[in-house]
Amino acid sequence: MNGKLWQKVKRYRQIYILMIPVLIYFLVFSYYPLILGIVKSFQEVKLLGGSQFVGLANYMEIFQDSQYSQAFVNSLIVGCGTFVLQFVWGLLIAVLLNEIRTKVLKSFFQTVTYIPYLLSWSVVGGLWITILSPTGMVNGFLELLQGMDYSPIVFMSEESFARMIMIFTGAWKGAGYFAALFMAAIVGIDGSLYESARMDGATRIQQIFRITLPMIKPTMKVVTVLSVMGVLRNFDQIFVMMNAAISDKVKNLLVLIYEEGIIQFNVGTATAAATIVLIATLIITTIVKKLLRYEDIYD
Amino acid sequence: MKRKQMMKVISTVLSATVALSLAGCGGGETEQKADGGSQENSGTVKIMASVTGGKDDEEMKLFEDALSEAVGLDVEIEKPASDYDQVLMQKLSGGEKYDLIYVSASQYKSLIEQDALMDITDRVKESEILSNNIDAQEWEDITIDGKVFAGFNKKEVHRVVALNNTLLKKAGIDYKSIEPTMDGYYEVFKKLKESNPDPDFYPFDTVLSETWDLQPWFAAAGLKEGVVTDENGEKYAPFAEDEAAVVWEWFKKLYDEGLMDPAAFVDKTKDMRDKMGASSQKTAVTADWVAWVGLHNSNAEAAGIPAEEYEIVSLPGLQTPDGDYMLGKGSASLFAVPANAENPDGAIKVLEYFATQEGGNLLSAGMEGHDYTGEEGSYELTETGKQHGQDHGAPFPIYKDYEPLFPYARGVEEALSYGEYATINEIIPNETDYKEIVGKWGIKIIKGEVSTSEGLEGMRQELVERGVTDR
Repeated sequence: MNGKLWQKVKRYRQIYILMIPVLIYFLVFSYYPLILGIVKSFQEVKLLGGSQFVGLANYMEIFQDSQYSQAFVNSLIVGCGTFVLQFVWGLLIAVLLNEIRTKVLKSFFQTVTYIPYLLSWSVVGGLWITILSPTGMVNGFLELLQGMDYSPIVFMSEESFARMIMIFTGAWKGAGYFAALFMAAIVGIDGSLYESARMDGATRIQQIFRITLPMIKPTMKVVTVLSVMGVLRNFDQIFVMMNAAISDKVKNLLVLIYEEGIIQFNVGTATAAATIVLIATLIITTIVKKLLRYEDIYD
Repeated sequence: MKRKQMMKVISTVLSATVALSLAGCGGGETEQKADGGSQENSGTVKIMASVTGGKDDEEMKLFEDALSEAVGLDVEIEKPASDYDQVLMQKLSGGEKYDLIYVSASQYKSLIEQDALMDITDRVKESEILSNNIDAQEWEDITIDGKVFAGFNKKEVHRVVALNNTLLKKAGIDYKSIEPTMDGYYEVFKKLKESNPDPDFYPFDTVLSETWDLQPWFAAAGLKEGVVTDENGEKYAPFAEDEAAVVWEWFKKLYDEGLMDPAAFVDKTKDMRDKMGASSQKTAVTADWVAWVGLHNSNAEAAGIPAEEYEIVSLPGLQTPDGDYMLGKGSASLFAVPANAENPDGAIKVLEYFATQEGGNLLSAGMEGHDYTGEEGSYELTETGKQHGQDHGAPFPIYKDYEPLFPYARGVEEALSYGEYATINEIIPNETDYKEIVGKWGIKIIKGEVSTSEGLEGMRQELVERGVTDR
């Protein structure tokens, strides 16, 4: 067996040699920091050296701190909510864009829906904070409907709206990106399928549900798995849009890790929390992959 | 056969490239070390700064040259374009060595707990400049367990109540005659609201989401901002005590009656200042830094708006039950010496220079010939100098007898005169948690989501849970 393996290695040695730079890249920039981070999560880290191993103390601190459990719940709710809405919204945009026959109009709408994805969260967050402010567009519209007696709602300070706002704005920003991915899959569908369906008398709606959606299923699976991997990693949006009034409902693990590690220099606790995020992401991704039968897309 | 040969050639070239690039990296490291060695010999001081220095790369070079010449050392300043805290943490944990690092009071405490700073108490005592040119109280404020680990970037001034005098006059109010009580200010806010037709105008604004300076208002109950240690050595937050209820209820009354800007729950200090600015005037009373009183006025002047049409003045806020005033002084912004500093003596020289008249000129007005020209007694700001607002890290230098090269902007002298009422807050490492918790529960009280007593109970409980206070 070993002999056979060696033979194979020898036969494809050029390919293996070509892989060396990539391997070095991943070792240096991905695996080394990862392992270092995990090691630090078991230490009381001193910034200028002299760190000491403290066993599971950092992990125990996290599990006993209600802030972390609340942040985990917030991460899951906002992360999953954003993904579901973004997915549906992106799909809707892609399907509708596919129905536009004029090339210029199609490109125009595709660009318009994609632009928010290109903007940073400091821009998008600021934009929505202004729109939702007491003197912003939403309150202005509500005042038009309800008259001068209307008392403005400070949306960004309402706990009941907080998660919805994060989910909506997150999906608004990313829907265009998902739409672009779905569009790429839709244009790859064999045109003869639609032609046959039309000859059989299928309506546009029937074509969408019987041809378009089933044919882009593999893309949907890939998008789902990739997105699920990022569900717990939403930092920028919350960092920009969070304030004290709504922090209980939206502060997530990454913001907490930032506060712990960067602001208060508690690197050990912060890396322990980051390791938990990594493990949780692995578990969630594995479950989602099993549920979706992800491997089937290679068949 | 040809294909095989070609693959061989490609793989050999690639391997050689990788090997060479790795060797290149190694070479670079050696070179860096050699440089580092020579710099050390020539007396280099390496500084990690956040606000100090030039406004761009070109001006930073001029600043470095001016500072190097003044202290007789090669001064190198690194100033990250953004995310200073993150960069500082990464650089320190990555083993980078600095002789001075800019830190806030909160970071100062955290870094001391990490054993990351050098004890410079003896060096400070031995230095005549540092001992004599800086107020003893300043040193006392940053002394932790009898030790000092940093020098000063600038003199921290205080915050005052800033008032739009033009709007006050329109409402028929002489600001000098405002009764310094909650009722007195309530009447002022009501008159301001009634005299202003703009529906988006709110007489009073603050930044509750960040628990921005509430000290001038809580003075009415004689309560100190931040965390205080009691006689038993236990930490507590006065704004969370039952005695604070009367002020929180006053805020609620202002909110309920449309006198406080509802955006105070979410706004940042920038938004508050924009609303106070001459071009907006959506509010008339805020609490802000002394410097901002002047900045509002000078910005208006620069925009061609005369003092009759826009003027910001200041007052020391509400009176305490003892008839005194209480204002908040800025937490120290410091230059700390890291424990692994290679040239602590050089670092002390720089700190000494910052505590002199000449050092103060550099940190405020800037570089002679660049930010200002002329001769002593008849200096004039250049266009660049005007744009830089006499701030190159320290608008108010730490030297206790500092004489500014140029007169302060309108309103600043008056605001500075309230300095006697200002005190610094106790330095705590988890200041962010304090602000978040007090702000959150304060907003709940003001909005009426919880009763005042429930809100204060919740505030106290969460402050203890998160290790900010002991009771």
